[in-house]
Amino acid sequence: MNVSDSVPAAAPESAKQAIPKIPTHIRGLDAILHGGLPKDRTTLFSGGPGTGKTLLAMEFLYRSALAGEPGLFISFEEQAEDIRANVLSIGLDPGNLEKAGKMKVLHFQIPHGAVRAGDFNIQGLLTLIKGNLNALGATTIVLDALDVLMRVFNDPEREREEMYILNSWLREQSLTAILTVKSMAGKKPSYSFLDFMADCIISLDQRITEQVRTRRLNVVKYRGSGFLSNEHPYVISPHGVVLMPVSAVSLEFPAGKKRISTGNTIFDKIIGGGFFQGASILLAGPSGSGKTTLAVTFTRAACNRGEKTLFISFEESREVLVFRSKNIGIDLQQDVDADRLRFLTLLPETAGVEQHLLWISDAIDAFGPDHLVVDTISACRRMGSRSAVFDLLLRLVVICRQKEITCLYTNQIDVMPEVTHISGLKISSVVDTLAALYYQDDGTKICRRLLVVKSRGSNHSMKYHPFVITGQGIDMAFSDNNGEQIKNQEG
Amino acid sequence: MSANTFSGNFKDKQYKFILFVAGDEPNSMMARQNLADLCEQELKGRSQIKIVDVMEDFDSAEAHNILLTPTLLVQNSSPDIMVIGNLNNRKKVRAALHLPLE
Repeated sequence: MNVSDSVPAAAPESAKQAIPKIPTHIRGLDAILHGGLPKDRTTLFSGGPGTGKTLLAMEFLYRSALAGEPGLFISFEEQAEDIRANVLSIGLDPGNLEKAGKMKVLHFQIPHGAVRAGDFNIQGLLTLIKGNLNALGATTIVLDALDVLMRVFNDPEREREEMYILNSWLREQSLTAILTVKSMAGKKPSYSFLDFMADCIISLDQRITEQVRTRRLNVVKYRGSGFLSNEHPYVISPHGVVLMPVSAVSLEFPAGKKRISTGNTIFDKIIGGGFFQGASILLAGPSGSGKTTLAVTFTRAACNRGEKTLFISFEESREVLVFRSKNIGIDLQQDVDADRLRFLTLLPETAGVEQHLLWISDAIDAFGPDHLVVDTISACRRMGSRSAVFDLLLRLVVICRQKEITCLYTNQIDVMPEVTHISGLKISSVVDTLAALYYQDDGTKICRRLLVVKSRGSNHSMKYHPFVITGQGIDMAFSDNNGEQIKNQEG
Repeated sequence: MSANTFSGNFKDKQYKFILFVAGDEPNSMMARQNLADLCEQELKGRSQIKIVDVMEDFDSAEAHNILLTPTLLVQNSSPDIMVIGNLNNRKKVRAALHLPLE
């Protein structure tokens, strides 16, 4: 994944307002669509089974209805009661809105025993749609599993003609319509002619890589509008569909922020004054090099200042971390007790990047921390793909940047020269500060060293700095330009 | 195939038809003509045809869930028999109505 791919398709400010849009109010989707779905036009949701087309379409209709825009949901495949029951799982209760006359969920199907005796057309359907819309006072409609209805024609030519008639009619009636159709992953969609009729096409995909399911949403086309052109991971959560798109804008460095301590006064000097509040810091090094120690040192200092820290651990439980920290003189228990420090322990194998991202994002929203620590980001490779580590890091950097949360990531790497890369991709351009920890065991003693590879906006030391881990924390040495050595008095 | 049985002499059977049409579009016109012909030729005096234009009568269309037009609803026995299309295929129509083979 290349950061430059996230730059939106060129759309000057004026063009973005060119066509009227209806916001979907689906988390993250309006940012991708530059505002919402096209008003009075047809949008196509296409995807394989289980990708969530029906849920997504229903969520749009539901949230529109809540916002005062009534809508009609017609499914050609599922019974209305089944749809109502299914969407409860994403926190939607259409029954209530139906009672209030803001929505209607209908199931239409051709009776099983019906016999075909000659040509026919969909005028009956159009009549039923019109009548129901009038009764609701609505101009928004979802036609779910339209491909199931169209099978009745048994002739691609006729299907095409009737779809054309449907689309023209929808347009004529100035309806905002969403059609959902099935497509099989990788194969040419069976309704490729619809591509020319719909003004906006959103394709949903799900695949299983290394036993983990990942879902991706992709805007295939959007006539008259710009949009974020990547594949966007999404999660079907208990509160609706969630997307967390990355855009080039969110990666700008926050200038002029205040400095905060790294937790170690010598490290503060080495790095040119401390970390910037809201910056992203990556500590890379092999197992045992002291990354977690530095992370808890930072945490303790922040909590000591009365600031809140959320500690995400992919490896150790809170109890183990608190215990190990205690052994080096860092008492985190007091911070846990004062609720300045919360831990979130996650097991990477349980879900994909976007689900983890959602859990972390929800934890951030619930706690409102000033700082985020992630130990260790390299564990994410167990989330089902090699790019997962880069993916998660990039998205967390964006989320934290938007909320001005300092984020500190540890990265376990075994081949030292590769500190500047993650998953084969250059990470150094994404984070503000990158430090490498070196660890050498020569059989008689352990030599630890720290090197600040880069730190944006700081006049940092370019030297290797030896340090030790004692029962009172980290003890670092710093030689200034005059060769004078300063050491930590008390870790 | 639904179990549409009837007792008694076939020649006495009454047919109750509702033909749902969409204004005067071609398929609907053909269906009207075809149905009229069938009734005249084979069901003389034994059929009752009601024509419903879905574009005028939404309530009827909704009550019977008419998605496609023209649709012929045959209301002799339970459940109703539904025949979709312009009824050009006389063979299929006769089979749907359980008319004896010619």
